[in-house]
Amino acid sequence: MELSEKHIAFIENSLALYGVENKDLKEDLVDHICTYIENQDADDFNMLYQQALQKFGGYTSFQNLQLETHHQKLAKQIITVNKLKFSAGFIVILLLVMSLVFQMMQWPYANAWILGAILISVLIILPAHFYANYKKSIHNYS
Amino acid sequence: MYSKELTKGTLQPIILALINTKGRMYGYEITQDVKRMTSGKIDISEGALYPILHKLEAKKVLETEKVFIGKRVRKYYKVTKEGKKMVETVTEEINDFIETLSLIFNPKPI
Repeated sequence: MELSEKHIAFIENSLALYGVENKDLKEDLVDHICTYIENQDADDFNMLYQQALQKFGGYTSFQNLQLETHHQKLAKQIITVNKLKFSAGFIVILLLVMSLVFQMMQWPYANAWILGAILISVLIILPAHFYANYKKSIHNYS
Repeated sequence: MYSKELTKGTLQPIILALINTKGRMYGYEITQDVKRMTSGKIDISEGALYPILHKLEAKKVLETEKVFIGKRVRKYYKVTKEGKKMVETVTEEINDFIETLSLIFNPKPI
């Protein structure tokens, strides 16, 4: 069956209704469904579209696919946040050690290193930690 | 047709090997080629295919090339230069796995 622009627009809109938001995923699914329908001999679009949906495993399958895509995106973000937390944590330890050495040697600016360590903890590590937890909670909720 | 439990772990190597051999492939083509080549014994479900493709793309093992087919976009997947090494590793691993399985399921008489 040959598909018209209206058919393609219908498939795109219905996928959006089923919760497929990711652009890449939507492009893949639209092309897959269109190719499936185009390879069939019948001319009944509605029937062929329903068949294609069944092959995917129904509407739940689309939502699962979207969830999987979200999960992959989230995993990437969590890795980046963890790297940032690790680097910031390393700098905090370095600053604290420096502060200790400076205090023992009675050199100036010992307090400045402690202040730097506190600032990095409060401005980078804590927000990054809460951001990752927030993202995880949204994902778990969805 | 083989059960999902049996084929689950081999889907990624199958997809990778196929794309690597063909140069570039799109989703529907992958499912149909696997079905044809295995005489319907392995049927990759759409629900399993796209997460694997997107995961491999995120890992930079695969890259995509978008081509317009009328009003819609067709995404061709192809193996990146870095991905070629993974294909080699995975192919070796699978061949080794097949040999190991045959030791168990087709033991040689002592």
